[in-house]
Amino acid sequence: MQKPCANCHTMHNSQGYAFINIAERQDALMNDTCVGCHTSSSVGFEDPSGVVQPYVWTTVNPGYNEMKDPSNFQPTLAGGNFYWVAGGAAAHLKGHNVEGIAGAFSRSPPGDGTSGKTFDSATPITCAGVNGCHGDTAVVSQVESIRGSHHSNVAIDGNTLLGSYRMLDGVDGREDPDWEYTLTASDRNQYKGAVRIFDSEWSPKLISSFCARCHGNFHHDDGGTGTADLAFSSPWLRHPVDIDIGGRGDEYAYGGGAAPAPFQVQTPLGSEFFPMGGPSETVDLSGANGWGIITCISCHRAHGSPYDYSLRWNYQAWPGGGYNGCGDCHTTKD
Amino acid sequence: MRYSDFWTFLLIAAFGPVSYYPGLVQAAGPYLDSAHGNSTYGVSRVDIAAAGFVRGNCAHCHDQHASVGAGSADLYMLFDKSNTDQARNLCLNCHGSGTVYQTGGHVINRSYSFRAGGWTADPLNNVKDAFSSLSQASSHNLNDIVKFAGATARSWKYNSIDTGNANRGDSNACGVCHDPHLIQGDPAFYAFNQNSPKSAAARTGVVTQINSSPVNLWGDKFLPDLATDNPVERMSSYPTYRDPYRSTVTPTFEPDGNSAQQGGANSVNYVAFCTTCHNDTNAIYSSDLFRQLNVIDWPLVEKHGQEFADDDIQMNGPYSSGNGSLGYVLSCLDCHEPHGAVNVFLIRGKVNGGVTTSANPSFSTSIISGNEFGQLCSQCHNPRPLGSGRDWEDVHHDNTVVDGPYLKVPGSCNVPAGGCHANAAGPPVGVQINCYGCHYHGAVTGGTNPVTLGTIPMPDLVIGLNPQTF
Repeated sequence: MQKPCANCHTMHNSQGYAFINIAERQDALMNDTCVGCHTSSSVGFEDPSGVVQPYVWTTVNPGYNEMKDPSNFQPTLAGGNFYWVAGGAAAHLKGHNVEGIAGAFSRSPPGDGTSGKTFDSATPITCAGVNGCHGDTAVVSQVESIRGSHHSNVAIDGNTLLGSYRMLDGVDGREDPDWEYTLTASDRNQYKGAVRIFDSEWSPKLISSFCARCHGNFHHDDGGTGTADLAFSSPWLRHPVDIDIGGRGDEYAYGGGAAPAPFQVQTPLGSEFFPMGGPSETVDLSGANGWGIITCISCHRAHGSPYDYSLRWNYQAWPGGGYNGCGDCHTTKD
Repeated sequence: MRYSDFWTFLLIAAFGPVSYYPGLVQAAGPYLDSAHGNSTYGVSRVDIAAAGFVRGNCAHCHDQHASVGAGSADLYMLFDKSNTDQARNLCLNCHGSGTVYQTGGHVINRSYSFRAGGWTADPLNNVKDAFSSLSQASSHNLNDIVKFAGATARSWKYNSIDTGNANRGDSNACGVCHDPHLIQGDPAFYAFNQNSPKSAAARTGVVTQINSSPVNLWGDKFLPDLATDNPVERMSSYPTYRDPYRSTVTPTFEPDGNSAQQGGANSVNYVAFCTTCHNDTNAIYSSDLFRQLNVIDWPLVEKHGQEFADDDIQMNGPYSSGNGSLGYVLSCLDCHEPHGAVNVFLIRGKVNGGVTTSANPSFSTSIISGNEFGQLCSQCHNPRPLGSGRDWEDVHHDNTVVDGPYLKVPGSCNVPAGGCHANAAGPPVGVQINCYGCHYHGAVTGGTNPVTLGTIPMPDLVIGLNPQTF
């Protein structure tokens, strides 16, 4: 980020004869919280001051185009939007109920296997830090946990925090410069996956492994149910992630079954590798070669969506309405 | 080919693959055409419906993360144990009785005798009870099915792992005959006409071809298509098949009560379907009978199959009496229920317009000493064509007009020792020996009955060597 320092920092906590921050001190002389800076009262992408920043929470309905149809443009970014989960207790399934946006429920993360966390009003989910997703998750302070990340623009490889995808410490990936504000098959994020052989395989560079820090059982086929299924193969106890749908034949005709298949932006596949020159409009599904990998993000938005379980599409209303995103891969189940 | 597939084929042929807008490509599969996938009458688990999922959604059966109903999830991402025993099976949660998961109560499924045969006195109204020994005298053993279909040599779909233990989530007996993602209901709108005769529009497609790839609705009859809607899938592929009576009062025929004989054009070819398993090569062990099942060579050996009667046969309608190459072929479901039955050996409660349990309501276990099987056989075979005092006497002992292979020698009916009858004068009227003693699948004169262990006597009038008695 190369913008005026005052856009984010305040030297004296004073501006226009008023305090910038009254309620609490902000580390690093920040003039607002994570939520504060990434919240907008409009659905635009670029605020009037010209500062380009991803709005993850809009206080007005940003609209949602589940199919990402270019002819029906809606400015929801790749992670979705917290607008819907902020709608009160009845909306708690529509995203992560992050502090400052949505009320906390006293519960452990769904599918939690190892984190041992319980989030409640005293220890809510935060954007960053020990109870958050972004930054160094070993650091308590949210601001401190993302130290330097906004000032760095190093190549993403997941080897350092500064080189991590979207400040998700250790995660690899390829970032769309406008956070999928505009979206096509060749203008998008590319998520990091892997072709797993064993259920126990786990790598911090994978987006799904990252989710598994809190939702660990959901990453494994056999965890937490008492049903032993140690093989990482069908029949599955849980829907697998970090598995390649390429070359499977049978019911899997993603993108219409063409080879290579058109990339479906509404159900993005991750990859073990990243193509030179940016995302490809097609995906090679000729075999389990690492290009067509199911990740958590293939079905879910990280921040929130209009739909329960933060799904990318209105799956609950299907059939008869909504959209069967499952059918993008399970093409005979539509 | 399903109707929708046919038109999709035409559209693609004319305009190329359908694309809603550039980039979005989703192939249309058959699930939405299935009974489970229908948004009006499809699957709807109570808890999932309450969570906002509409009827027909995958989540009613599949729990993506095994997180609903802790501890009960099973392989194939099923929300409950796939196959445990005769009473607990995922499918039976909705196709069961009492407290069930399906919104609005359990699915009404009647017996074949009820729907095709018009036996409306049959109280059975769900599949779970059809498999229960509490309400039925016999039923397909679900664990035996799993062991057979899941054997290494087969590993049929949904029964993929040979573990020697049927109580595993990677196997489900129902899936052998019914692919849950393709199967259609009968009637299509289960909430309506669920007690009606099998309907003209949906009487087929209630089973899927066993172990076929791709999965094929068996017997579906929509638009002509040589790929899947093959005439072979219907009983009319056997020219000498006759629809049994549904009613003999004002003659109507199975399975839909048509007043005209359709010759099997309306009926699923259950011969081809059932003999996928029950043929002359598969060894199938029955945990209920404690023995291997009789082998069945329907095409080449059995008289009720595609082989001919040896001599005269005396029949009731819709079959004609006569001799020589009558060659009638029966469908398995003309005599047997597919799930469970009030009689032994899955014998239907009503056959060819007549109730088989009228004199012996139990028709259950006394298959050796009783004469219950005569009730079944007499629905089609005339037991007294010459009007003698004893049922079945004419057809066995008169060699002048009808088929009577065993000479009648008064006072010697028990000769040789261990012969047909216990007393020299023959059985008293109404106490005939049981048909099953000599007539069963694969039975041949000179052969040994697997149940009675008796030898089927050689006929006095030999017509060929060791003629089949069934």
